[in-house]
Amino acid sequence: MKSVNIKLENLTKTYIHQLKGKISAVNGVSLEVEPGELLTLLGPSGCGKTTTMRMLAGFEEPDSGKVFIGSEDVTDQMANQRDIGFVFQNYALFPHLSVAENVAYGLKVRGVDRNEIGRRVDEALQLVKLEGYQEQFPHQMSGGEQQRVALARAIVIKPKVLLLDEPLSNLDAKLRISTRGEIRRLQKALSISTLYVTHDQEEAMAISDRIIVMNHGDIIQIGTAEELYYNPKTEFVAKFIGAINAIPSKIVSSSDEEAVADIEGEKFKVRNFRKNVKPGDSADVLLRPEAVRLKEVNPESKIKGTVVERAFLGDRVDYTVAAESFTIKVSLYDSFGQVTFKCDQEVEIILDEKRMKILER
Amino acid sequence: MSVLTFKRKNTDTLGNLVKDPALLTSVIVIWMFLALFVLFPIFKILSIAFTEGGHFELSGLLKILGKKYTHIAAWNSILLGTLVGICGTALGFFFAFTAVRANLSKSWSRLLDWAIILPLISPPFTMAITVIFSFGPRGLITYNLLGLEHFEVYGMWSTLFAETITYFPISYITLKGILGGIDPTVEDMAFSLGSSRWDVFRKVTFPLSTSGLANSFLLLFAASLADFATPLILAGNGFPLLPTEAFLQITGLFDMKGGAILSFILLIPSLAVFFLQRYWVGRRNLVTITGKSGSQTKFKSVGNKTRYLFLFICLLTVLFILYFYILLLYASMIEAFGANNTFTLTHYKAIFTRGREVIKDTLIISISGMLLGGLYGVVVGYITAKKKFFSRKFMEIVAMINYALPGTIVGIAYLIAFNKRPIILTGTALIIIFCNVSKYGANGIRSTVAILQQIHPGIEEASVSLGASSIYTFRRITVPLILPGLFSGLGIVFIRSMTAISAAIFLVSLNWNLITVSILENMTELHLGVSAAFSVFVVITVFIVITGISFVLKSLRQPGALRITSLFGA
Ligand SMILES: Nc1ncnc2c1ncn2[C@@H]1O[C@H](COP(=O)(O)OP(=O)(O)O)[C@@H](O)[C@H]1O
Ligand SMILES: [Mg+2]
Repeated sequence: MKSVNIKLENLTKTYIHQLKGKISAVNGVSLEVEPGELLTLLGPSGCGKTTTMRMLAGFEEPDSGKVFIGSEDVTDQMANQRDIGFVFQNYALFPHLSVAENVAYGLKVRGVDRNEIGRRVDEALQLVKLEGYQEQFPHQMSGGEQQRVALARAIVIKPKVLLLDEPLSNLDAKLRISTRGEIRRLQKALSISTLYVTHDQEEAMAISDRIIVMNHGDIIQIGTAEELYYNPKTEFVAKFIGAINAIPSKIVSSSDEEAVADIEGEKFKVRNFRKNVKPGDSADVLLRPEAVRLKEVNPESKIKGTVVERAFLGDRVDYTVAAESFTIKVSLYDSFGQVTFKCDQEVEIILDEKRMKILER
Repeated sequence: MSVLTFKRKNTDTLGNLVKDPALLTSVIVIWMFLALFVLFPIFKILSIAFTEGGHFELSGLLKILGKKYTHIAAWNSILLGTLVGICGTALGFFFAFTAVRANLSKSWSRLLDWAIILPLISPPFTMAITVIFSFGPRGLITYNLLGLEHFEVYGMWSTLFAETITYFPISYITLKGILGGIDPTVEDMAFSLGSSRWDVFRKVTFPLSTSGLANSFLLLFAASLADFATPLILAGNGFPLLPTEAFLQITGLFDMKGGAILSFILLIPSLAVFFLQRYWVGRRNLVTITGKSGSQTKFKSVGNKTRYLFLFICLLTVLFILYFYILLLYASMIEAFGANNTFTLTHYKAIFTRGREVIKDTLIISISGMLLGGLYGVVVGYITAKKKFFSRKFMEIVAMINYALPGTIVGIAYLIAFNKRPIILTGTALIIIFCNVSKYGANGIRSTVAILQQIHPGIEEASVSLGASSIYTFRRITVPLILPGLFSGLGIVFIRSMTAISAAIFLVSLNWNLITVSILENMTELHLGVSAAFSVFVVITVFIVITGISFVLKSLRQPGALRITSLFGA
């Protein structure tokens, strides 16, 4: 089957809450999923991911905006006319139907003939590695298995669009990692245009072609995992994707895209993407933990601190170091046998000027 | 849009109704039913209590309120309710604790469940009858065994005893759920911290079940307050209670107003207890610590000696219950209890000949009530739980009123409301059927709502997302999932129609009589054998129906199919 693109144009949705009044869950979201692409909506809980997805699926009527699947405007179509496969956070398996009956449901609705149904159900169960589970009931299965039944049920109808709303959030950590690999493999093999929702940045980075970061009903940034990690547009994105330090500083001078920031008396020339930064302002300088180094203190040491926490993680050691006016996270990778530091040890903190930046809040 | 669309609505608005003709129709029909068979009778009973010759007048009310006799009856009712609440809860807790904590084998705990079912499915005064058989002037125990000549059985203690045995199963069911829900690892934890078994019970198990205990107390208090038949047989003249006094006022003195006022006094504590139970205690006990971990550890809170002691005492109680029922069977098969013990089947012949009409009437009323009431429960439960519409909250409450009120009040209210124009139903089967539907159908509402709350809304959306229309979804997904609610609703209406008496006694007529009322009449005319035979018939019929329903429930392939006790889930 040919993959199609999905387009959302300016979708908005406002809820009236009995206590809180108007909640604008989604404010004018536009996005496009390329044919066969896996696009992820990433953002903290309550930022409007589910609402966006439900409008795409047809469960929720947008206040304004349009939904296209392929070239077709489906905004006014009912959910059951849109040809989507939806995997719910709680799987939403039919508890009174066996695994085979669950998977066959969508085919039956479509009036596929019985032999064909049997064949395609078996094939789908094979794809999710659940051969032989046909006669089981959902409550007899583990969370991971139920998850895969939900996936089989969604893909067996060969939908144009696959929607997954936090499909892994009910699984334990190990299973999350293996299952997300399987979802990705399957999605690529079938080449279904897919919108994936999660609040877990690591999951998003591992599985997606591109990621959309959302907050408070707005799209903040769209890009590949690398783009978001290395070139976040705002502090919010920088903090949401990977770990980052926000080091308080005073601005000494600023010009286009560059500023001199004062951190504990030391001056750093940093990249500045924030508008209207004036000398004398305070601003947080952002720096990833792997762009910080530690050294034993010596008389020339400039910024000094004390190790307050140390975690050995095999491939690297994570430290938390308290300087005079800030606390910083540091990741030291064990390449070429680096020196390690102990708790309470006094150290010199070396900040990589080239990777420091000030972003829009 | 129709009743069956699954786009989520956020608020209860009038707009939802206007847009949705199917929902609108259902809501209108339900409101008409509720207005006619819940609100109108209540309004009538209040207006008779508070008016005189068409205008507001409190003198009648005040006169009865001022009577010493009223005070005594009110005080007795509350005292009895409190005692039954305490004794029944204690016994229920004891049973539940044994069932859940003593690591019983499957067959033992099934025996407990079944023995406890007996009082639940009997006419409410079965126990009262057997108490007379055992402890009455010619009682098996008092007269034959102990040789007491003038043992006074009538009064508070025998009433308390009979009501405790009759109603403690409610407590057992409530508390078993709570105790079973406490994660054994919580107790393990306490042990690991060095507590003794007694300490664990006192400091962990007991405190965790307090909300359940309060819940059970309130349920039993309400049951006792509403019980009418037991005191009618056992309380005697020395221990007047509100429901019986109201009944005697109406049937003995033909004083409708006096009866209405007496039953009105009953209304206040009943409603208070109902709302307390439902909105305070009932809500809290659901969220006790449940072991989602599926932990396999066994309960260690009962030592071996204690275990056998508990088991022994429970068995003794079970044997006692069985003894009562065997006695009932025996009394139905001998000439005259206490006088002539020769075997005979004349009583059964009597109920199937002279009593044939009554049996037929009862079955017709019970079966039609069951069908109507089951449907009513599912529809109202589905609509109030799943749909958003103007007046939804109010409907929820109104649909529970007759359920919460003692049968005596409902019966008197119906009597007053439907014996005059515009609606005359006195003397018909319909008045009894509607009374049963509005009162016992509420059980079906509750079980349907409970089931719907467990069904994630995503399940219907999942069906729609797979291309199913909303009608297909309703048929293939929603209906099968709420069928257990329908069946337990059907079951309860049938059981209660067969066994209840407190409302129906005001509504029977020459044309339409009920078995329970016949049992009572035969008791007062001292045809004990016929009463016993009728009682046995009721118990067996109900037992068959229950078994049938639980069989159907099992075959519905529901995950963790409902057990029989859940038919009565309090
Ligand atoms: N049916 C609803 N009624 C009222 N408010 C809602 C409803 N659904 C979602 N919301 C609100 O809309 C916002 C976005 O919710 P949602 O899309 O579920 O967020 P996410 O999936 O990103 O966690 C939240 O503030 C939530 O409380
Ligand atoms: Mg969500």
